Amino acid sequence: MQHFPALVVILPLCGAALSLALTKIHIHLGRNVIFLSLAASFCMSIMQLRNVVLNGPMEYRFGGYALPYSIEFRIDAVGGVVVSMVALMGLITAFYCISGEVRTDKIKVGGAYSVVALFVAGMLGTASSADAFNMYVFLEITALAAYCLIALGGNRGMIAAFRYLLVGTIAATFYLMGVGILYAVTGTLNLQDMSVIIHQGGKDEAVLVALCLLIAGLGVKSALFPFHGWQPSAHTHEERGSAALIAGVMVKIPVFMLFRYIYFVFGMDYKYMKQVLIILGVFVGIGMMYGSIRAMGQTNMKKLLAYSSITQTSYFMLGIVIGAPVALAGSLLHFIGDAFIKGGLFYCAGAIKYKFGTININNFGMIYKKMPVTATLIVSGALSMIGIPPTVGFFSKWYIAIGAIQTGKYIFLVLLIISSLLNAVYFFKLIEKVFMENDKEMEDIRPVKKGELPWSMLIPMTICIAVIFLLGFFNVPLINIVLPLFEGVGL
Amino acid sequence: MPTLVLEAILLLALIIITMAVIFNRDLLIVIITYCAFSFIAMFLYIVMGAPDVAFTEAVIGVISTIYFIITLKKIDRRCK
Amino acid sequence: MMRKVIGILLIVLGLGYVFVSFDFLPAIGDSSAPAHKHVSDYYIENALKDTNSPNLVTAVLADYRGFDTLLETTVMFSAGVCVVMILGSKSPLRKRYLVPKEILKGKPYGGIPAYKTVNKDVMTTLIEILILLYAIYVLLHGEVGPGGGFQAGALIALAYIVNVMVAPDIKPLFKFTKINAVAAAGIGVFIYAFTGLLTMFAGGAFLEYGKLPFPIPENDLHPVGIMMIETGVAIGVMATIITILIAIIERVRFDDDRN
Repeated sequence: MQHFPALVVILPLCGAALSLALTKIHIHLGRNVIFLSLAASFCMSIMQLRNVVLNGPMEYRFGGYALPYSIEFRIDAVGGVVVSMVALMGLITAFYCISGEVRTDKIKVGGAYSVVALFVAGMLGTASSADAFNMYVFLEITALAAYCLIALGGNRGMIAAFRYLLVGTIAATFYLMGVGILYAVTGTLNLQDMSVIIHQGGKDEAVLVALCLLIAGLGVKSALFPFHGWQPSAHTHEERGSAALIAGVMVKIPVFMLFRYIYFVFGMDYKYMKQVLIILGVFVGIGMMYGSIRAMGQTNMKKLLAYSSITQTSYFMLGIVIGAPVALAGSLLHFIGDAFIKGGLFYCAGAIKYKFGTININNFGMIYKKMPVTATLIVSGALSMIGIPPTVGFFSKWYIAIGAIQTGKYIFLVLLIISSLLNAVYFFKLIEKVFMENDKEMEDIRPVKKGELPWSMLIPMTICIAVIFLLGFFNVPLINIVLPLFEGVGL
Repeated sequence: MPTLVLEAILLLALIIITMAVIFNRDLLIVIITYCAFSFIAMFLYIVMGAPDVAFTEAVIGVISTIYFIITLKKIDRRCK
Repeated sequence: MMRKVIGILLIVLGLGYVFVSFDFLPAIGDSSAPAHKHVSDYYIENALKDTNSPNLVTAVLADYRGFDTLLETTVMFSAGVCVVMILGSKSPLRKRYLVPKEILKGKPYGGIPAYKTVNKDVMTTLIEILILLYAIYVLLHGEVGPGGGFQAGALIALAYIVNVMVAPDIKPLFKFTKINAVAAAGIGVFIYAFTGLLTMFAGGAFLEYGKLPFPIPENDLHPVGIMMIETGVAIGVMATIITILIAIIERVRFDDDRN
């Protein structure tokens, strides 16, 4: 039990390394080993979360040396929940990829699963780690796998991947400069040690420069408002099987890292923190409006979802900017729910493209007769994005609104309501196109297969629908688990 | 004091070489100038006192120049 | 064009102003700066006693922070896999076979020189042997002098590159195909992770070399552990460099030069 924090990350890594060597023996052996390692990682993350809830935070030191001289993994309640979410999304996306593999070419089959496993291992490590440079290396692994997955989507995918590569490398360099300044001023790389030394005072300007560089670097990677230029084309033109992971999970992990830096390393009683939060608040406010307005005029379903991702990222940062413990808990609930909502909607877009060959909204016309499960997922995802009970989206926005009222920042409450109404405009348009319009019919490009979709696509969609409603019903135990951690931080 | 003068000269040379890499129009000249950039960076690492890093930079500079020249055979040698 | 220049000027001037006018960073080489006192003093005093290796860089890279080196090797391996996946398909048959018929009319032997030269046949054989010897020396002496796993792997790959590029008509001793090279890179990363799993199952933390299950006195186990992981890193780096070379060569032919 004590080795679980390390095994959760190491097992997918070993599976990815061995997968190509095993593919030479038999074409599906590598894929099965990766499925086993992702399933084992998910089970271990659930058991680890239960241990953390009962007994307090877990620590794991690599190499066995004493604390500031070695690398540390630290799992507390928030980290445990995020790790479980990433493991579950990774497992069901690996199932979804079965429908897209090219069976004749050994390299492509073994390599595709290997890249997905590396991606999941990178994100799991970023959420567990408590050492500044270790987080940087895990972020690099995730980014390399993402460049490959976006570039496999055709010619336009390659251009989008190249633009993301240039911008992402510069962002990682800014993050590294920030960590370098923090090391030169404090002398250690462990997050907890750093926070003790910063609170002793005397180093305020250097830490301010480091904080600005960190916000710039992590903001580009998570597509915050002024830095979002790479995002819409990258989400539209990526490979069908992995769109849910890239759009659903990868843009959220840098926001989690920024949360750890702002609240655990710098702390709310740092001298310049209020000014920094005001500037972040301006970005968040404009971002919420911009995403919804741009999304209203799109006809390609994936591009519509990509613009709406900018709005969702602004909701996570809204919780961090407000600062009350209830708002932080609501933001975390939205974080977890949105991975399944956004992922589920991208699964649906991929399934419609698999069956009909096109995802132009104006041509949908009565899909719900031929694809009932897909229609259910689109409707529940859309309701949750707008914020209608009993889905999880309603409860998370409710908690953020309570937090905004408690600290007296009414402007964010007004912006939240306006942007929810703008979301309602285009999501209702999407629902209408699925259910009405009986004068348009789309051609089925694979008419020999009976039934809606292969089973490997139906299982991930069913799990997403189940999680959206379960998180909505059982959100109170979840908030009670994470709230004691947030009571210590906050204004 | 002499160390700082040496580092200043090397860094200035690095800036001039970078300008030549960005604003040139013939790709073969760009590749060879990039090899010179890698060489001067190796000297900088030695002056800063890191022989392991200088060793690695020397080997990787040679290998990456070879990759660029192989790729140049496939694409057009001019650049707009 | 003007927009690019304005953008570059803004970034350079902005960062330059911040770093020059605020003097928040300690001076270079100042011996009372926090970067030189807090953690570095512990490493300088205790590295020889804890890890039994005089080279401090290897002690920190491969023993105190060995997990970061595993992740860096994984970054190299994932670069190799990504290149193989993206450059995966061969160009269509028309482009591969129609061009040489026009070019080969004027050149005998398909463009390869038909006579023996000093460079091609004598010097490359000598240089490859010297490079391989130096690579093994650097790998085994990584703890005592500058060197280690990365440099050794890159040097072995350099010997293979010289063989393939300079004399393409001589049959090489080892011929790598794309999938063999990527599989070898994966096995290199797995050797590194396997050392860690071995120490975990024998009762210690991940990568704690004092608990390796070999019947050797405890103080000598650290060099054994470091040697195992450096071997894994060398194999991984060598195989990745060879993979990228093969992937690029398969898309380019050398005798369609129209100049």
